[in-house]
Amino acid sequence: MGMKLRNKDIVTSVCIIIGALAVQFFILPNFIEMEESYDLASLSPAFFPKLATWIVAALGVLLLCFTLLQLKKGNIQEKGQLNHRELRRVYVAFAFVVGYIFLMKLMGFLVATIFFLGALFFLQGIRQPIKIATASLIVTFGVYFLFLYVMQVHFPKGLFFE
Amino acid sequence: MIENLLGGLAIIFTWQHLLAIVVGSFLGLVVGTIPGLTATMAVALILPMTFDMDFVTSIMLLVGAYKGGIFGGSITAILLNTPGTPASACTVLDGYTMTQRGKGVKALKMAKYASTLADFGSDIVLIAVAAPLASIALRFGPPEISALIIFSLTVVAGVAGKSVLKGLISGAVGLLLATVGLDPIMTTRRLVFSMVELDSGISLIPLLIGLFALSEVFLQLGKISKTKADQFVIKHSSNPEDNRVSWSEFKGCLRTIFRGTVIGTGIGIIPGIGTGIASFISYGQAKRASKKPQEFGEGSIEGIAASESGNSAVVGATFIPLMTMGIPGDIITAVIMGAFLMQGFIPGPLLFEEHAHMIYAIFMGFIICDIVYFVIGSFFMKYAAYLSKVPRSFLFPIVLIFCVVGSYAIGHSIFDVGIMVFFGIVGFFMLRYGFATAPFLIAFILSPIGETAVRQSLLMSGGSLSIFVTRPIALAFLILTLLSVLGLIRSHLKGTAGGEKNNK
Amino acid sequence: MFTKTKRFSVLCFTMCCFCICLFGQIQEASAGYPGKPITILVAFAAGGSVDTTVRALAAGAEEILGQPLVIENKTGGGGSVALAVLKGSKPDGYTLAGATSTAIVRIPQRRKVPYAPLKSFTPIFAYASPPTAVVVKKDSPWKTFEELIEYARKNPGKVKYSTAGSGSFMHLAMEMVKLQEKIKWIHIPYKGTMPAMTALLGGHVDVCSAGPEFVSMSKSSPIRVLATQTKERMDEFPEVPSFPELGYDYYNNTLFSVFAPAGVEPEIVKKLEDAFLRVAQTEKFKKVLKQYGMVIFKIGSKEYKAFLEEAWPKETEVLKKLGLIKKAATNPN
Repeated sequence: MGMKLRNKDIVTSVCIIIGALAVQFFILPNFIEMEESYDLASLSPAFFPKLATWIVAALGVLLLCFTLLQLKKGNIQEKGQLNHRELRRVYVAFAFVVGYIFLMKLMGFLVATIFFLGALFFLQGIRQPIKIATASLIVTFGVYFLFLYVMQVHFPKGLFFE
Repeated sequence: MIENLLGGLAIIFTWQHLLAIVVGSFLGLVVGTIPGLTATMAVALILPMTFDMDFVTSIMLLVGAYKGGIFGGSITAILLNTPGTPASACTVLDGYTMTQRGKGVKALKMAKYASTLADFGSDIVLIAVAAPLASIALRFGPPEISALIIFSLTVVAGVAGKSVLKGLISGAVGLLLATVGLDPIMTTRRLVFSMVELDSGISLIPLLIGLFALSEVFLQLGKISKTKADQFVIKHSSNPEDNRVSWSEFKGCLRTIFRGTVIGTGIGIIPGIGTGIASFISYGQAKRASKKPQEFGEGSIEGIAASESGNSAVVGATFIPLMTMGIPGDIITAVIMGAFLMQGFIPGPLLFEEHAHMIYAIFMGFIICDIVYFVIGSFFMKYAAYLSKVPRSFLFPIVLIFCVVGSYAIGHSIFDVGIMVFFGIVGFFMLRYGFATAPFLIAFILSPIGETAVRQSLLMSGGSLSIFVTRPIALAFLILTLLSVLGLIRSHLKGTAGGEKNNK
Repeated sequence: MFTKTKRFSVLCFTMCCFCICLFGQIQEASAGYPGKPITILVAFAAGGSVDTTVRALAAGAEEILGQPLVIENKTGGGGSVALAVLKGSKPDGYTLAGATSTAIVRIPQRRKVPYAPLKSFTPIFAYASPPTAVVVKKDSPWKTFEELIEYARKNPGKVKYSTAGSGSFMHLAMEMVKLQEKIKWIHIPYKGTMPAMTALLGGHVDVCSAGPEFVSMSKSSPIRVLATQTKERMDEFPEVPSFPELGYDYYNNTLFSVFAPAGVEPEIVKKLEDAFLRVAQTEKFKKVLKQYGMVIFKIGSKEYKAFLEEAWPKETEVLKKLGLIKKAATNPN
C-alpha cells in the first residue's frame, strides 16, 4: 500500500508536468483573446497565467525528484482512505450528481431533486421505498418552499416542467 | 468623544433598534448555519426589506445578519466541513477533525469565545481610532498592496498539510485558475472557453462549497455504515472534557486570539484586500508561534482560536475603509455601503463630522451585536446535538442538496452549480492524492488582487520595478516576506533533519 | 431485484411528481399581461447605482402593473452576462433586464458577446444618465481644466489618472482628450470609481475620471471638480465647465435602462413603457435619482432603439480612433 501511493505520486507529478506544459503551449496562446501588443509598463494579460503555469511545471518537476528520492530511501506512506468498493460508490455518486444537473435543466428543480435524493438514499443503503419516498419528498418541498418564500429565490424551470 | 458615545448609546437603546439587532443576528445565524448558504445571502436577503426603514435600524439589521452569518458559517464548517463563507474555510481545517473525534462541541465553544472576543476587540478599535487609522490606510497604494499580498502568499505553506510541495502546487494552480475571466487591467478575455458566464471569473462561493464541502460529502457518500454506531457521523462524546473549553485551554489560546484580533483588524482596515484572507493569515502566524505546530490541521484548538479570531476581527475593521473612504472590503460590505448611500449617508471624512451621533450609535450597535450573537449562538450550538442524531445515510444527501441549492441561489445560475460540482470532484481527487485544498483557495482569492496591484504599480512607475523598494511600507512587507520564507526553509530543514535523526 | 410492490410504488411516485408539475403549468396566466410575476435581471451588484435605481423603478411599476417585479442580480462583464441570459429567455414579457447602454454600444466591439447588440433585444425604457467628471484633490496645483492640460503638455507621461475600469466611458473620455490635445497621460485602471477616488485621495494618482459617486463625494471629501463630462453644465456644479464647452465633442450618454428580448409583442412593450414612464414622473423616483446626481431622462422604446442604432457606429469610430480596436469584435446584427 505504501509503494502504491508512491507510484501514485510519480504518476501525479508526471501528469502535472505534462498538463502544465500543455496549458502553457496550447491552451494559453489560443484562449487569451489579445489583439494589440502591450508595452512592458503594465505587463501583458498573458504574463500572469504564463508565470503561474511555469511555477506549476517547476513544482511538478520538484515533486517528481522528491518522490524518486523518497522511493530510493524506502519511506513508507499512509494508505488512502477508501477501498475499492467505496471508491466505486463515489464514482456512482459523481455520475448521479452530474446527471442531476442535466435533469434539472430538463425537468426543473422539483422533479429532478426528488429523483436525485431517492437515488442517493438508495446508494446509501436505505432500501424501504416508503422511507426513500417520504424523505425525498419532504426534503425537496421543504427546501423549495424555504427558498421560494423566505429567500425569494426562484428555481430553474425546466424545459418541460416547473 | 465620550459625548458622542453617550449620544450614540441613547440612540441605539430604543426597542426598535435593539429588535433589529436581534432579528438580524438571528436571521444571519439561521442562514449561515444551513450548509451551502452564506452570510452574503443573508445580507442580500435583508437588503430589500430595509428600503423603507430608518438608517440605524436598517444598518443594524444588515450588520447583525453579517456577523451572525459569519458565525453560522463557522458552525456548519466545524460540524459538516461546509464553510459558510470563505472566512470560515480556515476553521474547517481543525474544526471538522475535532468533530470527527467527538470534540465538536469544544470546537464550537472555542469558536464562539474567539469570535466574540475578536469582534469586540476590532469594534473597540473601530470606535476609538477609525478616522486616524483611515488616513494611514489611504497610504496603501498598489505597491503596498502588492507587497502585502506577496507576504500573505507565504501563509500558503502553513496550511499545506502534510506535503508542503503538494500544497505549493495546489496554490500555483489556484493562481492560474484565478486568471480565468476578464483581465482586471485591460479587460482581455482569458481562458473563458466561450462560456460567457466565466467572464467575471470562476464564482468564489460555488468553488468554495465544491472544494471544501462537496469533496468531503463525496468521500462520505462512498462509505456505508456497517454498524449502528457508525451511522452517526457527528460523534457525541460523553466525556465532559470534550464538550467544554477548560480555563487552562482558554488561557493558552488568549495570545492566539489577541494576535488574530490584531491581524484581522489590520487586514480589515486596508482597503481592497478583502476579508477572506484574515483567518488564514492569523492561522499561519499562530502555527508559527505555537508550541505545538504539528497539531495544526489535526484538531488543534489553537487553530480554531486563530482562524475564528481572524475572521471575526476583520468584520468590524472593514467598516473603517467603508465609512471613511467608501471602499467596501467584500461583497457584503458593498451591499451595506449601498444601504448607506441609499439612505443618504455618504461615506467620507465628513460622515463623522456631520452625523457623529448616528455613526456612534451604529458603533454601539456593533458591540451589542457581539453580545447578542454570543447568547443566541449558544442556542444554535444546541443544534449540534440534534445533528448528531441524523444518520449518515440521510445526512450527507441532504447536505448535498443544500450545497447545490446554495450555489444556485448566489447568482441564480445552474452554471454555478456546475462549477461547484466540478470543484467537488476535483477536490475529492486532491484530497485523495494528498494535495491540500486550503492553499488553492488562498491563492485563488489573493491572485486577482495581487495581479491588479502589481500591474497598477508598474503602470504608475512606467515599468520600473524600483517602485516596490522605494516606498517604505512596500519595502517593509517585502522584507517581512523574505524573512518569512527564510524562516520556513530553516524550520523545514531542521524538521527533516530531526526526523532523520529519529528514523536512524 | 425489485418486487412487484416496489415497482408499483415507484410508478405511483413518478405519477405524483408528474401531476405536481402539470399543476404548476396550469397556473400559468391567461387573464392578460401581466398574469404572473415579472423577473428583472439586474446587471450589476446589489446596492450599486444601477441596482438601486432599477429596484426603485420596479417598486413603482409593481403598483401600476399589479404583479410583483422580482429582482435577480446577474452581475458580470459590465452587463454582458445579464444580457446574454436575457437573449435566451422567452420573449413573453416576463423576463426583463436592467442594464446600461454600455453593454450594447461600447462593450461588444471590444470583445465578442453572445448576442447581437442591435437585434437581440427590444429596448423598453431609458430613465437616467450618470454624470461623470474629472476631479483632482483640493490641494492640487490645478484650479481649472486648462491648467491641467497645460501641465500635462509640458510634462508628458507624468500625469497619472485613475478610472473605474478599462473601456468605461470615463476612460474613453480621457483618451479622447489625450488625442485631441496631443498630450500624454497615463491611465491606471481600478475596479470601480470608489477605489479610483481613494487612489486620488491617497496621492497615488494625480487625477481621477470619476463616475456618479463624485457628486456625493464632492460634499464629503476634499476634491475639486475640474470638468464634467456631461452634455451641459450640471446644476450641482454651476461654475464647472462641461466637456462640450471645453471643446470636446464627447460626453457621457450612457443610459440606465430596461431591456426585453427581441420579439415581445408591441402591446406588452407599450404596457411596460407606460408603467415605467409613470413611475419616472413620481417624486419618489426622482428623489432616488437625485441621490446619485443622475440626469433624468424619459426615453421610450422606439426612441431608445433609434438612439442605440445611431450610437453604434459613432462609438465604434471612437474606439478605432483611440486605437483600442481594429474592428468590432461582434457583429451588431
